[in-house]
Amino acid sequence: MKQFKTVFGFELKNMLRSKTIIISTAILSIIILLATTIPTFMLWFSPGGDSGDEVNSGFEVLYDNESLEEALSGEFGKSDYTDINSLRAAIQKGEIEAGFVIHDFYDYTYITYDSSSSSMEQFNFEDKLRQLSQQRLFRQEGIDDAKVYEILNRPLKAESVTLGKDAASGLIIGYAFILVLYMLIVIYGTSVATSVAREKDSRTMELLITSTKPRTLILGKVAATGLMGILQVASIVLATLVGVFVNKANYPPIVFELIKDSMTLDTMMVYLLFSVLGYVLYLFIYASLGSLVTKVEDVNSAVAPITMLFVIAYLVASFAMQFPDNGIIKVTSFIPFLSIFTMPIRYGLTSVSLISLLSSSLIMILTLVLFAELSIYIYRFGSLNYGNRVKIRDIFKSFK
Amino acid sequence: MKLKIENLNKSFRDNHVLKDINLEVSSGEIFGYLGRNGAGKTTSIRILMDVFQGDSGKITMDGEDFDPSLYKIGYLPEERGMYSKYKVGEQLMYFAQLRGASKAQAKKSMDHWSKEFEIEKYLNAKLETLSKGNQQKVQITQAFINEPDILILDEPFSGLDPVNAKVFQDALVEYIRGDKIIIFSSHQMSYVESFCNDIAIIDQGKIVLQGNLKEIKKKMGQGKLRLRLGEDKDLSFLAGRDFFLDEEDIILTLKPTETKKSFLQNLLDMGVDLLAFNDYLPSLQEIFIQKAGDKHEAV
Repeated sequence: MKQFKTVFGFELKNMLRSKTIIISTAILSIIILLATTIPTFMLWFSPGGDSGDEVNSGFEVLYDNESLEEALSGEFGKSDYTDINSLRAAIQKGEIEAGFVIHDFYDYTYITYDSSSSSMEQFNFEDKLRQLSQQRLFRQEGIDDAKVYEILNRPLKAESVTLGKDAASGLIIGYAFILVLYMLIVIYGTSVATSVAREKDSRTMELLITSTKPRTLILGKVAATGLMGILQVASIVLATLVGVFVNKANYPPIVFELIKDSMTLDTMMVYLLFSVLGYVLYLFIYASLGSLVTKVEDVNSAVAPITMLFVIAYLVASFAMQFPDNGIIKVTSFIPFLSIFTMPIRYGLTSVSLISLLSSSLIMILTLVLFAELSIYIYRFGSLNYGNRVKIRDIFKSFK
Repeated sequence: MKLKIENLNKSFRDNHVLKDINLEVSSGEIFGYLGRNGAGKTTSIRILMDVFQGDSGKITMDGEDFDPSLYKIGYLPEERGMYSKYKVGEQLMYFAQLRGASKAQAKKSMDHWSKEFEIEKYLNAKLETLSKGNQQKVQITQAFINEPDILILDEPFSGLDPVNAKVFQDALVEYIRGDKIIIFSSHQMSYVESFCNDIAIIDQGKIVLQGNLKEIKKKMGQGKLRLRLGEDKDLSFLAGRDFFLDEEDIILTLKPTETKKSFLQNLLDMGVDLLAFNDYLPSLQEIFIQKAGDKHEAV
C-alpha cells in the first residue's frame, strides 16, 4: 500500500506538472467558456427591436399594375423602380439585397443575388401576401375575415403524460456524456499506454520492476492517470457550469427545463458508476498493451485493437441515442465493453428495471476485476521482455 | 551473511536458460559474476531479486529461505535507464521510496550518496540535460541509495572517466567494509581482477567455474611455467613440447614425468640464455576465454 502510494504520488505529480496537460486543460476550458457564451454573443449580433412587420427592409417591391400597388403598397410600400430591369440592376450592384415582383395577388417573382437555402424574408413576404390576398377575397365574398381567422386559429388544449421517461429531455446529457467519456478514454488510454512504453523504451522499467512489484506499478499508474483524467473533466465541467451560470439569462429556458428533467440523482449515479468502471477497465487494458512494445512509436499499433473495440462501443452508443429501446441495444447494455455507454443511455432515456441495472453493473465489476488481473499479468510479462514486440499469443501460451 | 543458490533452474518455454546453478556469495567481499552476453546472468539476478521465480532450486541466506522483501537490494542494470525528462533528485527519492525507505530516510540517503558521487549540484536538473558521465554517476547513486544489504552492479565502470572510476572504486571498497553483499558483473576483466576475491563464470546457463580467484589461477597454472629468454634465442629445447607465446614470454607445460627442478637443470645444462623462470598464473581474461569462449577457442 505504501509503495502504491509512492507510485501513485510520483505519477500524479509529474502529470500535474506536465505542460501538455496544463495547456490542453486551459485551452479546453477557455473554449468551453466561449462556447457557453454563444447565446450572449448571438444577442449582441442580432438586430435590435422587433423587425417582424418590416418585410421589405433591404428589399424592394415592384408591382405589375397600379391596382396591385394601390392594394398592397400600404403593406409593402411604394416601388422606387419602374421596371424589372432597373430592379435587377440594383440587386446586381448590391444596392439592395433582393426584390419581389408582384404579378397578381397569388403570383410573384423573388429576385436575389445569392440565394440561400431558406430565406426568412421570402417566407415572411409570402405569408403576408397570402394573408392580404385571402382578406381581399373574404371581403369580396362578404365574409368577416376576423371571424374566419378566429375559427382557424382556435387552439387545442392538449396535455401529454409520460409515465416512464421522456427521451427528449435526456438527450442533451446523453450526448454530452458520450462525447466526454469517449475523449477521456481515448486520450488517457493512449497516455497511460505511452507512459508504460516510454518506461520500457528508456529501460527505466528494469529499475522499476526490480524495485517493486509489477502489480503495484500498474495499479499506481492506472489510478494516477485515471484521477488525472477525472480532474481534467472536472475542470471542464466547472468551466461549463461557470459559463452557463454567467450567461444564464440569455439561454432559452427550455434548455434548463430539459437538463433539469433528466438530471435526477439516480440517473447521475448510473452515469457516474458506468463511466468510472468502464474508464478504469479500458485504462488497464491500454496500460498492459503499452507494455508489449519496446519503442514509444509502436504504441499506436499496439493499442489499435482496443481502440477499435472502443470506437465500436462509441458507434453503438450513437445508435443507442436514437433507438434506446432497440433489442440489440438492450443486449449490448450487458456486454461490459459496450455497456459503459449503452446502460447509462438506456437508463437515461427509457425505463430500465433495477434487476437489469444491477446485473449489468455486476458483470461490469467482475469483468473489471478479471481484466485488471489479466492486465497485470500481461504487464508483468511485457515489462520483462525486450527486443521483439510481444504477441498476445505468446502470453497466453505462457499460462500454465 | 552468506547467500547461497542451489540447483537453480529456469526455462522460458522451450529455452532452458539456467541449468542447475549453484552459487555461494559471502558478505564482506566483492563477488565477480562473469559470463558472456546471454549466458544467464541477468536471469539469475532477476530471480534473486524476485522479479520472477525459478522453476526449481533453492535460495538461502545464512541457511534460511531467502526472502528478498526482507533485504534492501540495490541494482545497477547493464541496460541503464531512468526517466530522462524528470529531475534527478525526484527520481532518486522515488526509487529509494519504492525500495521501502521513508521520505526522510530517502532524503538523507540521497544527500549522502549524491555528495559521495559528486552529483549534488544536479539534483534539480533534468536527467537528459546531464553529460553521459554524469548520467552514469546518477545511475550509480541510484544503486547505492537506501544503503542496500545486497548490491548488484552490472558493468558499473562503463562510461566513467578514470577520475570518476577511482571515486567509484573507493566508494565500493569503503562500502564492502560494512558487511554487505556485492555482486559485481563486468566484461572489463582488469577491474574484476583488482576487486574480486571470489568469482563465478556462467556459460550457456551453467556455472563452469567458481571459487577463489587466486586459487583458481594457481590451479589453472599448475604444471605450467612462464619463461623469458635473453638475446640468444635458441629454441631447440621447445621441440616436442606443449607451449604457447604470450607476447615476449613462452608459456610451457611440463611433461608429467618432469619436475620444475629437473626441467630447470636441463635448460641450464643446454646453456639456454634464461632471463626469467616463473610459475605461470593465467590472467582472468585467459581463464574467461578458456571457460566461456567458443569451443574452437578453448585450450
